[in-house]
Amino acid sequence: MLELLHDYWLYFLVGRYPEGPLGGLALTVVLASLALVLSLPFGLLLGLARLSPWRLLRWPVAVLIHVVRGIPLLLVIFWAYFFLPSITGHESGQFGTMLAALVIFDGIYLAEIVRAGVQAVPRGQVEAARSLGLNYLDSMHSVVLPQALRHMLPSLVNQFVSTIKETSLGYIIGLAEVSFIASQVNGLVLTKPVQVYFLLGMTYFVLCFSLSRAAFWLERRQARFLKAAA
Amino acid sequence: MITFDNVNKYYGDYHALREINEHVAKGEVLVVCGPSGSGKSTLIRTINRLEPIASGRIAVAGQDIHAPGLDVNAFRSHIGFVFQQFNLFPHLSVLDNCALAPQRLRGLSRKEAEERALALLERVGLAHKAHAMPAALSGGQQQRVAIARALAMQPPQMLFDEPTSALDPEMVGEVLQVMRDLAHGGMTMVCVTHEMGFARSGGPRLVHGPRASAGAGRARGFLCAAATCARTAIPGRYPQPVQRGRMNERMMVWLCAQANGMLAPSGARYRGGARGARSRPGGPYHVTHHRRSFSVAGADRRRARRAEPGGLS
Repeated sequence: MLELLHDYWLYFLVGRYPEGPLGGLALTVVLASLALVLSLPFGLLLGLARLSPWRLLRWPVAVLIHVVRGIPLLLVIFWAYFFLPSITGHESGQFGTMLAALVIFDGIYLAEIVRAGVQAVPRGQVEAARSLGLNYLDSMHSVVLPQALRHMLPSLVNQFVSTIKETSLGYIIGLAEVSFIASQVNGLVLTKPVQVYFLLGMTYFVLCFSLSRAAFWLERRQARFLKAAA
Repeated sequence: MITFDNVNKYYGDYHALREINEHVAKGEVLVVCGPSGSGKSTLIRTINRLEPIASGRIAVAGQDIHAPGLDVNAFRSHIGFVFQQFNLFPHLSVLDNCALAPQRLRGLSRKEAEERALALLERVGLAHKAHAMPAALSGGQQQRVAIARALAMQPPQMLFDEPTSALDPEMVGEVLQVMRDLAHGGMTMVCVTHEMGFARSGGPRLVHGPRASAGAGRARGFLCAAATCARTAIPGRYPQPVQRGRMNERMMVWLCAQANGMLAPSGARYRGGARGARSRPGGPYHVTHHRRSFSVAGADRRRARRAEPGGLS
């Protein structure tokens, strides 16, 4: 196993970079981070639209959520792969395709998390904000969302951990992320599939576990902050 | 200042507010008492449009607050509202709770808003807690902050929806003291309460509700029972015992006091609404004057004393 690490660590970490495009673990991390950063505002918008008092906004979003939630991610990736170029008019590349699929797929899940978080904020909070004279957006922004975010944190982490693992499906469209690289390595070595995939598993575990721990730390700090006496 | 004109409200088939006509003048304090379910909270919440009404008109400073097209946010910012459950914003410090709305709506700088907030916290005796989070405060302290938060918008009138009902008895006094100071300072107030200690210190005017006109005797029965939260109707004094279920629908008692009557001596025993009763011509309400504020018999009086160590008397 050490031999394996010694021979292939660089390939595993960055793919064929700098000669070729970036790949491996670095690509997985970049893809997952971008997917998180982009899907959160997207999910927030969808979630707020779903809570909107206007049907014209609420209904299309509800349909989108039900449709996307009813199909597997793999299918969303295929759709992005085959349909996106015909819609946008130019080739989006494997990375762009995968990113688009992840943002759409995670965005609709996040939308439901946002909805749950906002609805978990006690009604009295909204009433207090509105009775001070704050309008809908101000009370959302200054009163409801900061509290909703706290309710949402565990579910958000859940979703983000999923996102990291979902990047492995980029394999199917030939994106050179870490799973793809691992199978390449396996193809080169041939005799050590158990070790190769064990290392791959450990890599995902370390990524996801550290994210969970960081979130847990954040939760505890929040709880302390809310009880501060001065 | 606040005028109700034939206000009706329904929850489904249930007629929650029935032909409400009332006027609260500037500087007046209206205390609304009554049993659970009699529509007290609904009534006060219609004043700043937290609840819609079915018919009638509610005007605050001459403006019909349920008029379509009204900028309700601007309007609400001139009506202070204090909730039973305080509803402080738990993610903001005490100071930020009070400084948030003035910054957003009154165009104050952060510094100005914090200065104003601090002055108000001083007034409710909590300046030393300015940087604490709400969860670190007792119920009474939270409610005082909530009052300061509402005052930070400098509203000409304040509404209190059972401000002491969620408090432990030993904390009721501090909140009532703040409210009493406000009333003394000439604030126009409407207060829904079960707190007979506060109602007791109210004075000259007693208004009672819709079905009272059905018959004077029955009205008195309702009046007494409702005023004491349907528990301690004085036996033998009133012609008919009041059934709670029926009363919810029928009865609501309003006690109304001039600000300067708030601290009137309260040793006198309540003698019943009929004495000196006078019907307001044309209106469904009976307006009752009695010379002194009333105190409540039996258990409620003891409860009021316990709840409010300093007392008013």
